[in-house]
Amino acid sequence: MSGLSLAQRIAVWDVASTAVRKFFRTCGAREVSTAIRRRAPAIEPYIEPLTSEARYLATSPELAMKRLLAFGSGDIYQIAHVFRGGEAGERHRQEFHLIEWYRLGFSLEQMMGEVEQLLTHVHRALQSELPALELRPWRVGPRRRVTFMDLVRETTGFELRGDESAAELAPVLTRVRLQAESSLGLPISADADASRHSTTDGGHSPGEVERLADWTEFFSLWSHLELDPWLRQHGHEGLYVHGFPTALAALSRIRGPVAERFEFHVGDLELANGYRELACGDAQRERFARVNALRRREGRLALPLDDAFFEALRNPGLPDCAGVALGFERMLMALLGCTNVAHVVVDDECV
Amino acid sequence: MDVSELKKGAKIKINEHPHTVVEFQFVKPGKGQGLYKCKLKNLVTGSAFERTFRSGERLEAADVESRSYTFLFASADGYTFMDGETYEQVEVSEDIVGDGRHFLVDQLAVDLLFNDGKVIDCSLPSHVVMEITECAPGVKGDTATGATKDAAIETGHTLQVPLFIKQGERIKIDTRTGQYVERVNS
Repeated sequence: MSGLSLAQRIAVWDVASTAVRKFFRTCGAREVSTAIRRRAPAIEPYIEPLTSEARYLATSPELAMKRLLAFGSGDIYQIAHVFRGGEAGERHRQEFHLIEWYRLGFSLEQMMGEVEQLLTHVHRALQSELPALELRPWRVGPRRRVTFMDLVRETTGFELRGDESAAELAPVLTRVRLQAESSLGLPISADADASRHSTTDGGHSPGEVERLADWTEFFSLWSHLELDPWLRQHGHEGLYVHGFPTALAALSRIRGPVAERFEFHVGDLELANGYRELACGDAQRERFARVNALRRREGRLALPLDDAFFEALRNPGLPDCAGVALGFERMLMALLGCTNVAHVVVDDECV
Repeated sequence: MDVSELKKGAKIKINEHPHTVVEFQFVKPGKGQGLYKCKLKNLVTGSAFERTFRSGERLEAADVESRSYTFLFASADGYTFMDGETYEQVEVSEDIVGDGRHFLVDQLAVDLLFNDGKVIDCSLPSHVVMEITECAPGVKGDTATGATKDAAIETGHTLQVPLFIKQGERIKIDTRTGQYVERVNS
């Protein structure tokens, strides 16, 4: 489907956002709108915050919303404007919207269920209020769940637990690097071996930073080489990948050898990331600091740590909860069958 | 330049040769490293290939400059063009001019691509108007069948034109495909 007219895009945005709000009103979650400019952003290996007047523009509302949860907000949701530097393409824009919500006491499984319920609800609203609009068919009902490790085994033959050290991960990482070199023309990074010899990483055991670096590289390459083609074949209805490697836990809890994290994809289009939220302030601080060490090693800027955030996790403390971030534009692309984000955006620059 | 500054048509230097980015695709899992999958064309050799860059990589911009020149004449050695401002003349070989040579008319403005002072590419405007120097008589009224006949244009090149076209008429040609577009009333 090619681009919708401006009038159609405005109608779609209006109906979809109203449907999202109605869904959460029914669930009992309250809408919040948190500040976009922050003193300190969430720290991820490959998400680059933009800045404005000595503040960082939020790449996600997560830190702000978790503080609200710690201070007793109860279930909350937001349709947030977020900004990510250097992301532009058919499926990426530097500025986009995330529907992010948190539910106290939810398991990861319950959270996954809510993602498909929300999408079904929005689809139904679009169908009934905009009957002339061409929507992709949407089956009502639960979508398939697959574990990350099962997919690694199916696509590479390697059996992984999820908590492997860098040394244990090396054979599968090497295979994926060679595959990237031959099928993508992606030269193996000159840093790949050099970084192994660095002895200091700002006080972090080099082993942990290396583990993060290697798992992140594995995930980045494997995602494109193996996961995306697999999803194109098996995931066109929508599918959850869960049980991520512990090194890639980000802000989620760890349970045994895996992180309590899931992603929801429609075909190879990633729509959502969900967690059972990590409540331990010290562990979270440690993780962010480790990501900073990785960023510095790769020649990128380290980012300031949000001490107010870690403190709120310690005191008053984050209640037991699960959360999801779902791309609004991606949701529309999936429901409408658009391949280019520019076709769904309501923006005077995209007219 | 940073790889995130890549655009279609950007000129980058790889292994000492200038390349143009024919197209590229940015792929990135939400929390993974972004990749720029590029289709590149070597502007010197003309060869096309694919190469992927990681986000954060730095690329070398190629010293490539496009200047407008007008066509003067063709000779056994090549095609001569002149810079309208400096009157500087440059001779470009047939393999650089390529199929565009069939559509070079006196004073036609072209873009010559220079790399380190040498012409590596010649691009014509997307359409030119040329005279039919030879073809079979026009058949009046036959606009609907789509049947065509051979015709020769000023440079001696032949192409297919609709049956109603007469010798001496001027036609618009798409230089990218070499095909007839429409008759032009002079």
